[in-house]
Amino acid sequence: MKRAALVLAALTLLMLMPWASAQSWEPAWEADLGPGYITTSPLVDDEHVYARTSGFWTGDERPEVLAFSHDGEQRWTYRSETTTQHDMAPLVMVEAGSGPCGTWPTLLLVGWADGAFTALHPSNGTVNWQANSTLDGWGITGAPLVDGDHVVVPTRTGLMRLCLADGAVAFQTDLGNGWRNGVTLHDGAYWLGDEAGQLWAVAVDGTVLETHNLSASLRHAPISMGGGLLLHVQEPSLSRLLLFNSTSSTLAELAVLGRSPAIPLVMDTTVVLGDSDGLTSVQCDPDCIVIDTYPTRVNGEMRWRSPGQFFAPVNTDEGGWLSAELNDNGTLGEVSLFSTPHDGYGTSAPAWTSTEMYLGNDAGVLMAYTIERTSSGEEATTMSTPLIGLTAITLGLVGAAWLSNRGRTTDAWRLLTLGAVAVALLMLPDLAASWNAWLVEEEPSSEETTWDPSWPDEWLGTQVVVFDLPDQTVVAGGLVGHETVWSLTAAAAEERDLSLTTEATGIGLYLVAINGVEATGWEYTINGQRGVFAVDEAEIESTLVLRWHLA
Amino acid sequence: MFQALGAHGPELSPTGAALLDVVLVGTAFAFLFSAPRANRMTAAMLVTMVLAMAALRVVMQPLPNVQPVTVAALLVGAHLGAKRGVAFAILVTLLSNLLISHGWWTLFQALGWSVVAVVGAKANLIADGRLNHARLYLAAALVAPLFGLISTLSLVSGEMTVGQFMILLGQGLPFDAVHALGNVAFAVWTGSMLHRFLSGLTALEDDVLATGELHGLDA
Repeated sequence: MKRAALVLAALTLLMLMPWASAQSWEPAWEADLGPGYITTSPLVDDEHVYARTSGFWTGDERPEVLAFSHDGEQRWTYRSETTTQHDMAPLVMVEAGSGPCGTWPTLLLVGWADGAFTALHPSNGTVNWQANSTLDGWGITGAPLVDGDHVVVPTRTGLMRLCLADGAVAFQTDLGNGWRNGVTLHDGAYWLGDEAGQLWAVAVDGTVLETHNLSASLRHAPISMGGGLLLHVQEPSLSRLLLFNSTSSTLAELAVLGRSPAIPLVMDTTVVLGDSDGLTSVQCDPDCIVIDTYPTRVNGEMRWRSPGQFFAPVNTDEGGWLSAELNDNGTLGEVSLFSTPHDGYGTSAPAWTSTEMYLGNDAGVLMAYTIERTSSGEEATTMSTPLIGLTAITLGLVGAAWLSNRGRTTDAWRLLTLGAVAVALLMLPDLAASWNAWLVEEEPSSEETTWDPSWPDEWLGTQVVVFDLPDQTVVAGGLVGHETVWSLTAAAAEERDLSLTTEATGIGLYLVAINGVEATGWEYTINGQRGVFAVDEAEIESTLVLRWHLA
Repeated sequence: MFQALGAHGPELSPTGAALLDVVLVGTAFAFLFSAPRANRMTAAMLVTMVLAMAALRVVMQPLPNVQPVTVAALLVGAHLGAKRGVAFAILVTLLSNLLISHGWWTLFQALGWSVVAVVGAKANLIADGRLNHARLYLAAALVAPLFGLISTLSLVSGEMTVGQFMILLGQGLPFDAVHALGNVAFAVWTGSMLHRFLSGLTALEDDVLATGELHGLDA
């Protein structure tokens, strides 16, 4: 009985050890950005992490956009001398490209509360171009939308559309006064809400197509969901979740929720809403229904860490960031709190690379955390796994030798085999990944072999995704910086407005359906070579053609 | 391939899954009834063994490919014979998969552990009532890749080439190695205990059968 208990205890410990250490983020560095807030999420690319500050309307301090190296060294700063309101428009990075209105380099787009909209060179923070919008108390506070060779900016008094090449104004239309009101492209029109409770549809030439009374403020980009728009509108003491049917122009109320809505988070047909009462998950398949709730207070931005896991800033005095799991059926799974030394009120989501996390809140301190990512995709701290393995081997060998010396040969074998299994399990992820990489190593193939001459030249040297749907082929190109098949596929699907349905399995993520098409299953090829790894495990090059087709 | 076929193979419709359940349960009981007749105590203990192993498999599921069922199937086959061993393997697989993840692959896992039970019955693991430990360890290690091969068959489709299947098999080798190592560890830790338990069960059965023969009660 004792032996059985010992085995059970050892195996339980073994089960917990690697996974307990897997989510351990270690502080790397932090930078105090001054007395203001970090209201919106940092942004990270291969070279820099960017953050913007907000909340300076007294004294000499002014809001800035700052760039740091991944090691925490400040590289440049861009300061606005004229902003005296909350600067909360999210930073947006646009890759270099060209279109009918011209050619542009990689740009960091920044909307300012003084009405300016600047396109900065992310390498050095200099201005490439700047446009100005009408100021009415404050200026730009919402999220811009990149649409082809233009950027569409929700301004204080309406909407403007700018050429990415030079900032030339394609249109600037007066609507209602807005605040934090992002814009969405839906059914060929730009949709946004305002503080007075109007929902607007604006054509690409700036003509107002429709307006509808929501009777409440809309402070997020409408969520395009099938044939309608999901809207989380704000009233003085509560919020309402509405579904606007853009075909019949009718509104349906889905739920009454807490006050001060956050910016919703979308994954396929599931939407996560935040407010002062907590988190709410909603699934639209096709009817939208509330699935689950979790009491907390989230009023700002949320962001996916991975499919099925998101972070949300807790906007309370205690603060911190919630790390929450979202199950395929829309229920909220395990929710835990990620705490930092500067926890407090916050509305900003974290930003990530594969091994780094950047956070900021109203304390105005940009914090960097690091974690090791193994080649198999499993996260683990740098030293814990080898140390556990070394400890297991040492204990196993020493214990077995001691037992053997005392004539307890059977017990020695038991200890030895248990140690061997423990070490094998610790080694398995790395071993399996390396083995698989060697096993499926094939002749190098190139993008050229699968390049379609009809594609724009601007897509050369970028990541291109082809979806071979039963009735059409959808292509998204010019994508950069994606490190896994899943990341690239999700970005391409979002760009082309395709829905993806996934299923988490023991050996990785499985893409079940594209745009609702499940059929006999989906396969992918990379530069013509058949993929063999799970989509979230398959690492990719910076230049490739990824093709999805039915098996 | 994984992306095309999923982690285990094609999805079953609810009707297909129900049919699979019926076939597996029917097969298990067919093997049980075709085996030499057992008394109620033996049957109850076999059920206990099935439940215990299914529960242990569910509990240990987070450890990739550490499979307590394999050594148990070897020893059940060795003690109770191939037919009851197959029945044991099918029932444990079905019961534990209902709690873990049930589908097309259940058929192949059940087949895999059934083959393991048959190997256990034929491998002379018991000689003169004594467990041959070295033979058990060897069998425990060798049946791991055999089980891996059979369970991988669940991924075979009409469009899969031999080369692709070989890659699939190759990808499973590290997991088969862990399975083998886990089997040896289980055999070392629990082999004697299971042997005593199953020997008692066999002895009990022999005693009761002998009594039955004497008194004409259990003929």
